[in-house]
Amino acid sequence: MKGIDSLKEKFGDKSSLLTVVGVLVVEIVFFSFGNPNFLKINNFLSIGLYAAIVGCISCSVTFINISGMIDISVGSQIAVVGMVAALVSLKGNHWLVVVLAALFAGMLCGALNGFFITVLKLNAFITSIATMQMLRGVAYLVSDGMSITITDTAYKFIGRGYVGGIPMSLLIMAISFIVFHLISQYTVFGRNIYLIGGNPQASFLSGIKVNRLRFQIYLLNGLMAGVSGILMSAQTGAGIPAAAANYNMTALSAVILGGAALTGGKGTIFGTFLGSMVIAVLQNGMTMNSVGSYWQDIIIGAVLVVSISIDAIKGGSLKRKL
Amino acid sequence: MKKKHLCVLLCVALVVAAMAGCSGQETTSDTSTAAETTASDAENTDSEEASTEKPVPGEGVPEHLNIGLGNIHERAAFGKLVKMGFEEATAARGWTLTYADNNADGATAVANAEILANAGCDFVVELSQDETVGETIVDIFEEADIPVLAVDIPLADAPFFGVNSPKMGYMNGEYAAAYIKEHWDNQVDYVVLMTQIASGDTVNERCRSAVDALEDAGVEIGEVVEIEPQGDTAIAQSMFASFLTAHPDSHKIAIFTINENPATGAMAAAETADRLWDIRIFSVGVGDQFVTPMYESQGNQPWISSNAAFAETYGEQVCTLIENYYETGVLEQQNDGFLAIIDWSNIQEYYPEGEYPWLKVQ
Repeated sequence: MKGIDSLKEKFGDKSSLLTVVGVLVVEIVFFSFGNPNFLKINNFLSIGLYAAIVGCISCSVTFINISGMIDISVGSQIAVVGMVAALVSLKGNHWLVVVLAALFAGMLCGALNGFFITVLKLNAFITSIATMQMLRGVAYLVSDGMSITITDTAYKFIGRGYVGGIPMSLLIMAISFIVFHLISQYTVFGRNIYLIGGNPQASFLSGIKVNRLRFQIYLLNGLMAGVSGILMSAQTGAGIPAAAANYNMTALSAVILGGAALTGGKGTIFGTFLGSMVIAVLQNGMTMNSVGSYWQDIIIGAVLVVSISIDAIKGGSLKRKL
Repeated sequence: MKKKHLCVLLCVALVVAAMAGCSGQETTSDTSTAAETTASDAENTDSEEASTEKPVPGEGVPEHLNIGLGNIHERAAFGKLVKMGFEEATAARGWTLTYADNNADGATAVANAEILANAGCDFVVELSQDETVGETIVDIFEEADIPVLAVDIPLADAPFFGVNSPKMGYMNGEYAAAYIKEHWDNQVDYVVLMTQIASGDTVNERCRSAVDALEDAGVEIGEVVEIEPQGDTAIAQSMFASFLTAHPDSHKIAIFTINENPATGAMAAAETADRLWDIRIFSVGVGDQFVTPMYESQGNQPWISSNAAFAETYGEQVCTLIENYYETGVLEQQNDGFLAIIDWSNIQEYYPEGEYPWLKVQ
């Protein structure tokens, strides 16, 4: 018991991160027995490459959750961005123009959510259900439901290229996590996100412009949907209207696994990074070991439930009456 | 404290159960890879060797191969039958099957391609629903120096096996033309094509080429209409119900569908509108949706025929191609799979009542 207490003292609220690290280690050990190729460096680079799409959007989803809000339309936003990128690329535009157009499309999606939630004060959950549906329709509409091939190799390099032996997508994800970590820890903007998530009323009374901040967070989320959409379309070499349908839940799972509270005020970017790695390694390892997709869904759900249960138990949920 | 320990234990048990499920799947896959499980050491050595020393085409069929299969999805019988066929065919040869479910999603197919490329596969078979990601997938395998065979849906310039879509559509059209000549005085008010745009133009030829055959056979066609129900039965039902409402005086409507789902939807819509015999359906793909009502009605239904590609035999057909490839070093660009139009006259021959291949995967 003394050992556990000293651990608690040492790590404090980082214990939930230890749980996630533990899960990650168990996964890696388990899968390395299943397939001898799992532990190869190429496979880990590949995990990073495909984790990047969810990883990038998870950064901003963490901010949304810490601020006490929610956005379940990110999958549709990514699909719209991918379609816009493919359309602009199809017209023969320079890759930089494609990137800017895609980011702008993402920010428009974010602004749409932000407008309804912060100006009209609609419920965030219901609003994002509605925009999820709307934006998916937009993604289908722009090309009559057809996927559009992207042939620009310079643009595809963003998704599939390597810089110094490291996938470009992985670098973009790493930069995103670092930037978001710095914002959350060392800026007034970042600290205010925690404050409005912890107690919006008190934050408002203390002079924080809560709605403006929330709008900015949604705008930032749209921007990151832009980044993820660019990565997805560049990786697949296509704009796919049906793409990223499950990414709302995957991103949210990564954030929750990382220790963020849906009720707001709690969570870290590093935790989200670990959470997205747990999911990415799990998906890669299971596919490598020929696990069927139904089992994959069950196992990913089970790992999420078990991780947050362990965390809740450690937090004393069993001692509480309610 | 006891309660706490019990809960932690439960959590751990849940993880163990999940992992057991995971390894259970592996076992299924491994047992289906047959005799190899009995000599697992040898298999491990083999697969390690395979990842360093690739078998050379033209130098004979190696004793052991690791075949990667990126399957289309397992939400319908087709994907399950493909999987079962490959499990059986690879097991019979003592090969390993590394399996990935593309979940009918282009992005997942690309991610899976990368995983299969890293999983020590010697040869990969890809069923990707989205033609547009084909080039990316082919690039991944080219980079890894792994031969890839596209099945049913073309992938850039990769060799192809499976349904020759224009041929399949044309066969359906020829069959329908003969039927229309005999039963509808060689004339139809509407030809309705129920396509699936997301699958690309080539695949949609399974519907569209039927019109060419009808025209070549001299059938008088009032109008050709294309409906896009996104492969969904409910959407197909709703859209076709609207079509029927919009055309109350049409009594000769020939429908060509890209698979069984829209055909089921069209049947439901016609039945609801009490216009069941205003339509005749000539579909693609044979599964429970077609066979069961055919037997129940003893052939007395407007869903006249369906063109079968026999997904359960894909594994055997493809593994034979792979053997031939390693034997001769040649893999043809176009390899047509076996097709047959199933109607009431021959259903017993191909799908004897109660002995359907999909029952094995349910």
